[in-house]
Amino acid sequence: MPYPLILPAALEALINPLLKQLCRSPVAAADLARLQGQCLAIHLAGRQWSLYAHFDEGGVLLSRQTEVPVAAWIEAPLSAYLDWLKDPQIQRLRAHPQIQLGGDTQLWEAVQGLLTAGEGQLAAAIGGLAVSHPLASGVVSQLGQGLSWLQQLGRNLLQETQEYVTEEAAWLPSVSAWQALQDQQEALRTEVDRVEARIRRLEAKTDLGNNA
Amino acid sequence: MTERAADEKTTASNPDTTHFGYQQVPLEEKQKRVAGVFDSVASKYDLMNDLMSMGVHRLWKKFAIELSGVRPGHQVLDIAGGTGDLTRAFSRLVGDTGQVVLADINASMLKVGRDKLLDTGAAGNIRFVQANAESLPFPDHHFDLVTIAFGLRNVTDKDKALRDMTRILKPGGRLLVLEFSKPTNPLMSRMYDAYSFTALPLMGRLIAGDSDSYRYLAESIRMHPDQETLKSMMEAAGLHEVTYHNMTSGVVALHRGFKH
Ligand SMILES: C[S@@+](CC[C@H](N)C(=O)[O-])C[C@H]1O[C@@H](n2cnc3c(N)ncnc32)[C@H](O)[C@@H]1O
Repeated sequence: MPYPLILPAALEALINPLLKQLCRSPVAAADLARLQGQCLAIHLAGRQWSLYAHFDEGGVLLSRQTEVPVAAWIEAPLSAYLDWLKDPQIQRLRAHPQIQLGGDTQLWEAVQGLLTAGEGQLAAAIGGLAVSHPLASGVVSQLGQGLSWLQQLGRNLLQETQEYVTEEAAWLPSVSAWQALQDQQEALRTEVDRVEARIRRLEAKTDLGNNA
Repeated sequence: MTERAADEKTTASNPDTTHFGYQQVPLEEKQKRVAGVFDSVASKYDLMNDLMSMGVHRLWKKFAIELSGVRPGHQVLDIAGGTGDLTRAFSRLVGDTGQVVLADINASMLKVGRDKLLDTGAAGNIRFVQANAESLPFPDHHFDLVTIAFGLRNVTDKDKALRDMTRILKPGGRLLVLEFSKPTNPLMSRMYDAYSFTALPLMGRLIAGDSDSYRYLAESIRMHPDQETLKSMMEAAGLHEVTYHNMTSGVVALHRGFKH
């Protein structure tokens, strides 16, 4: 596991909100449905780096290792992946001299469908992240994409935070609920004091009885 | 002397008490108090988790998922599963033929977890069970994986819980314990102390309106056995090939053991 875990985590944080957005279109939703329950492996040629993508209706779970059987795999050098992300046509994928595909290769068509959905937003976003990684720092031509990725990430983060805060706000008790709780607490305290006093009185009485 | 040895000593001198954070409380009292803590934080739990760990808890959990070895068809138990982060990931990996049980002692946490999982569309292969980690209501040799994430430190009798988790594992199954541990770097250790005893309770008060629960959190982390002690406890419970991985300089450790 030579590369940091933050990479698949960041990719996931980038891809899943976008997928959610894209899947409002029935075509992209159908592509995601085809991938559902499948595990796809992405290997980097020349290095022992692999990324496994587990798909389900909620999006994708990415990991550096897995014991889930792989339904389809791809192996290519980084430059070939960047080529593909720039122009994510399945023909290109099949014809690219440096890209090898295996397993149920039709699943890559569904991946390509997702990459091209919504004017290729997903491909551009992932391409941007790959470029911002030091490995790909030589690919200066991608810098613009990297910047647009950052903007996209910023927008996604903002949107996610907004959704999160809105959802969380629903959990906050209202002022009146809070006051009602305090009143009930106060009432409970009074009851407890009363019970305590009764117990003390009872104890005192039984002591008296015992002594008599 | 390890923390555990110190722990045993206090318990030995006062056999009917255990620690609740830094306080000594009667055994049965601890469970009630732990329940109180999680009742009061349940609804804000996820938000607080993100803020308190600055989002890093997601990476810690992701690493646990990577080492889980879960496959389609597996039976998985996420005990002390709270709001179900791990359960969600496992439910994706076990597929339709497998099953994940989200178990927690606390009904409020379980409810928040169930609602959250239903909201994300998961739940087809998830079951929800209210259970105490010390006496698990499952048959012997049943699960391929049992996980307990940030839960073991709240359990009163940890040895008993580890033995019971081992009991319900299938031969070849694995137990993963994700838990705060002992920072391996002295600078990190000091920063971490300052952070958890001042910033944490303050955040707890500001966001969840409850600083005591978060002070308990910081204290319970300090009372939890360190990496090597937990490893020996897992071995004593009958697990084999027990290894651990430190994360974030040992602030958190992931222990893994196999049942033979
Ligand atoms: C800090 S939360 C962790 C939740 C979740 N695993 C996560 O990582 O986000 C600890 C959970 O442990 C549960 N818990 C405490 N004592 C327990 C016990 N004896 N048996 C089962 N669950 C317990 C609490 O109710 C709480 O939900």
